[in-house]
Amino acid sequence: MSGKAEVTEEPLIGLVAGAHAHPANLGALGFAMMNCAATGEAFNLFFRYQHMDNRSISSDVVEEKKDVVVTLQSPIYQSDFVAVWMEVMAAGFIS
Amino acid sequence: MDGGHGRRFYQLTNFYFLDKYNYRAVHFVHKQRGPLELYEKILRCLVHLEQQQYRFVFDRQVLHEKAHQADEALKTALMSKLSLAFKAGASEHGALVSESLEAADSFAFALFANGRPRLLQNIRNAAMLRLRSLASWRDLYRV
Repeated sequence: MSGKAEVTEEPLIGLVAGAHAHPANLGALGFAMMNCAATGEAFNLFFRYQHMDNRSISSDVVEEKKDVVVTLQSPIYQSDFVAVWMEVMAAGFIS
Repeated sequence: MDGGHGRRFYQLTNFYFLDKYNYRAVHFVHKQRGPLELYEKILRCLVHLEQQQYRFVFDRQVLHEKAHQADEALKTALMSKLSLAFKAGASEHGALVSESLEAADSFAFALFANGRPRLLQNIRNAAMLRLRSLASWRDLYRV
């Protein structure tokens, strides 16, 4: 993943890729999410099963006073190694 | 829904609601990899780098937004597959494909086979466009 950034000399390629993502990119999980009645239900579905798609990142969702906070971490890799993938996810959530 | 037409349809049907889904803030652990203005343009919020934790902060109201295209029957059918794979042993990290399931009939297998390659295809497409000089980065960042 980080190799793509070097080859293209574009360090923010993860954000670009995430911004052009679609729920269908997740396959059946994405289609199930698109058919949830509310966004919160789709959120729960994604964070329950996303580790089946990507085992290098674990995630959690916490509801605070006025916010919903999604926290991600990689138990395996250093932050620089997963940086591109994290940027894909950050841009992908709101695309 | 996959592909260009599907994406445009999705954007059209959700365009009105896009602002509601904006982050309040994004925290990255890694160092800055490009201009901060581009981070904030694409993510449409304040971006903080070199933080202790990856945190994507939404307004809580987002959770209660209704999805008008939702089909309960279709979701139930997909969920039954999903639950089957989950109960069969895919609930643990590292147990993506259970040997006890027929691979072709497993939701986990479908996710593994189709989900990640499709997402990675976006990165490959962006890289190939750039390498072939068919599009400038200004075009790619037009989101």
